[in-house]
Amino acid sequence: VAVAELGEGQWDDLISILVENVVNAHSTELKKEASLEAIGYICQEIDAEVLTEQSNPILTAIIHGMRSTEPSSYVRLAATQALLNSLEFTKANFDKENERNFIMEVVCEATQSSDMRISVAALQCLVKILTLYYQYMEPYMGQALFPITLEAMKSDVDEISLQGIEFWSNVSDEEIDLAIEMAEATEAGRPPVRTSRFYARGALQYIAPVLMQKLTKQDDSDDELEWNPSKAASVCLMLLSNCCEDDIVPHVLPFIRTNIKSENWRYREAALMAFGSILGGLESNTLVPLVEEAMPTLIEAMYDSSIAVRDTAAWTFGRICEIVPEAAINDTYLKPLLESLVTGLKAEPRVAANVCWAFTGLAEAAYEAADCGDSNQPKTYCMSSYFDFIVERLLETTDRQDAAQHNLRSAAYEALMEMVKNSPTDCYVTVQKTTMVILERLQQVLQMENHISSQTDRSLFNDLQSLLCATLQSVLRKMTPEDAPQISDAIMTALLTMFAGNAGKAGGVQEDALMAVSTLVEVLGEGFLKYMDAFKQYLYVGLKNHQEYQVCIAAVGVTGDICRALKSKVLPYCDEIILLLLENLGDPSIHRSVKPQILSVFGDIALSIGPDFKKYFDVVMQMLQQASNAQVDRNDYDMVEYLCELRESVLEAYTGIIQGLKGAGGEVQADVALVEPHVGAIVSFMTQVAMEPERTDGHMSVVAGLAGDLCTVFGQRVLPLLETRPLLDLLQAARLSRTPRTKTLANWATKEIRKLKQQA
Amino acid sequence: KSSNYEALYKNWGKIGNQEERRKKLLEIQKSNRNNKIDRFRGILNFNSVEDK
Repeated sequence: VAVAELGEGQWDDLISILVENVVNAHSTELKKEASLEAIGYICQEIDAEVLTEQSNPILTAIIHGMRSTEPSSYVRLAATQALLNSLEFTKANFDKENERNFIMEVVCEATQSSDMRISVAALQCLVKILTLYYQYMEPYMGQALFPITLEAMKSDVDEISLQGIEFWSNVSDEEIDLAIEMAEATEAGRPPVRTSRFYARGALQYIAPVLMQKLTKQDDSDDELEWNPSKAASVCLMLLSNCCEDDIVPHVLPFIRTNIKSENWRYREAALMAFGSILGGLESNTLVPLVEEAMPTLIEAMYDSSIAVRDTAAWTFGRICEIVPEAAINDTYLKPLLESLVTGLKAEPRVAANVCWAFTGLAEAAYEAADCGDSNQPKTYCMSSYFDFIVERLLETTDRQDAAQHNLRSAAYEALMEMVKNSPTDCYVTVQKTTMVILERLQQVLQMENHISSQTDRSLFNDLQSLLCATLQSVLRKMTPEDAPQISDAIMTALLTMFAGNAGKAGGVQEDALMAVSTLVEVLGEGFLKYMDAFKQYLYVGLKNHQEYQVCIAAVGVTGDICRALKSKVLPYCDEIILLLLENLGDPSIHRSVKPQILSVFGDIALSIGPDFKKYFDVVMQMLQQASNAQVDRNDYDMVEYLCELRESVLEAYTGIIQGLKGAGGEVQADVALVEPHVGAIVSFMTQVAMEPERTDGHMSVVAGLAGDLCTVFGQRVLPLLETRPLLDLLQAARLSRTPRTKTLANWATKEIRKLKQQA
Repeated sequence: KSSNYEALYKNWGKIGNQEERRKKLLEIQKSNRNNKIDRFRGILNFNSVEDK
């Protein structure tokens, strides 16, 4: 109730009543505890700014309850938990040194409580304080925070140890961000707003040994999915490595060398885990020789008697493929590595799932290392001779009885998709074969539809359909233009059955099926026309799906694809499509991310149907003008990003409309005269976008293109509008863009303007 | 017993790449749209994303 009412400016005296309950010497223990809990819950749920003005009394009550002199551990715990929830809006108190000192003193004191719950809550406060108030931590770090958290890390109580480790993960994470900020500031030639104090680097020699010790305390039940200090230590090492880079090596490498062949699986696994964890932060000169040296041992670890060791070895290969792919695909180790991974596909689900992720990385690494020559796709690559065999094994893996465990089925399909996507020409026969297998599976799955009884089966069934649709997309993208029409009937029949069935009502399935249609449209081009009458009803259902906005976006995307593919033959469907798109734009409840996509599709429609767009012209232009006037809160990063996207889409739509009405040939068609009364508003919007501080490369590209279009269509009449400082500055910046298309469009537009000036 | 960093542990954060597929498809659609406009302009002939 408080969260609802305080936000509306009601129940003004609530906080003072709660505070009074806590500080009043006559309040019972229960009353104090309940009042602090209420404060804690309110702070947790409410928007920070609502309570900012009342932060002083709230903090007074909390600190009162947290003092070491407070006799009740219940009150102390409730107060500490309330502090944890109120840290966001006590900035004003942290800004004042004396208040900050007092808060820090009380929190540090509470970490030493003999009541484990109070100690954990206080450590959680320190973790959060570090992130929120990093810049103020220097006086406390050496004397208090470092010894407190180091001792916490060492604790045998998991809850305490986890908070100690989390603190240093947070420090590393924060200092990684600060390093990025510093690099950006240096590049921009300005001083950084905040600077790193390099606490992680300073503490490395003390915390790394504790973390490695924690790595050896794995869960006895290997299958455990619960978070524990061993897992937290691995992640902390990863963050420390990213933060401290090569400095971490001397603190970790001796542990790895000593233990990687230990008789005790716990030490072997911990050594492997330490190795895999630190790879991400190392400089190439350090990393490559280290990984090359380790390869034989890592391959051997794939055959280890311990599941945990094999699991971590498979994961480490995945990391190597991502971070240092050249080491994984080198001639000496590729064959034994692939053999060990294929063997791993038959191992326990958790091991097999990590092997699948390793294949995902390997496929990309091998493809990127292949020589493309003059073509877009390499003829062959280092995995060509194993490709068919690996794909067979991955298909078998997706079919394993236990594939539902540890996301194995999903990981195997993802690996399959990556293998197909990253396949060279000489593996095409396997791609063809895989397409048929996937299609067959899709048909089989659809036949099972009526036999599903439980909710769990339904969920598995839907996931499987989504995965098969996604795999279809990746095989279709590899299809040659000759092969695609031969299987398109079977694919479209399966997709239509899916839309018509129950699964087609599930958002995730519908979205993946629509994305598969997108790919089919792209591959078939005008050949998709024969499916339009059967497909249109499902397209319209997707466009009307306002609740599941990702489905709606996918449907809008397919609409654009269809327009581009069918060209003027899309005309019979346009009335309905335009109506639905306009309805979506007019619906205030629809997710905002759908709107830019719709605006861009107006451009696609205009481009496809050319002069026939006239009947939609007025209403669409009205929508575009409305969208041009949209404003957002500039402090909200997400909204600014949305505004950028919206503006680019408006400009794309103008471009499509002008091009469509102008006609594809060299001669300018008379219909484009419809745009002339709007040219002033269009250029004014272009100018507004050109002057925005958030101007993106995408904006520059589309403004440059549109400027060129206006020149070619309206000639000298637009020159005075275009020859203004903001637009000329934009063209100048766009000519220097690193994106080739932006650069070319800017050069073209500049030449068009110059041509008109010379004519004048 | 939870952490802000659980998704970094092994492949816990990798559940599937539907989000990546969405992003990729939007990129392809944008690139195809640009190619089509550029063909209309008759000035450019960029390769589409998948061709690259």
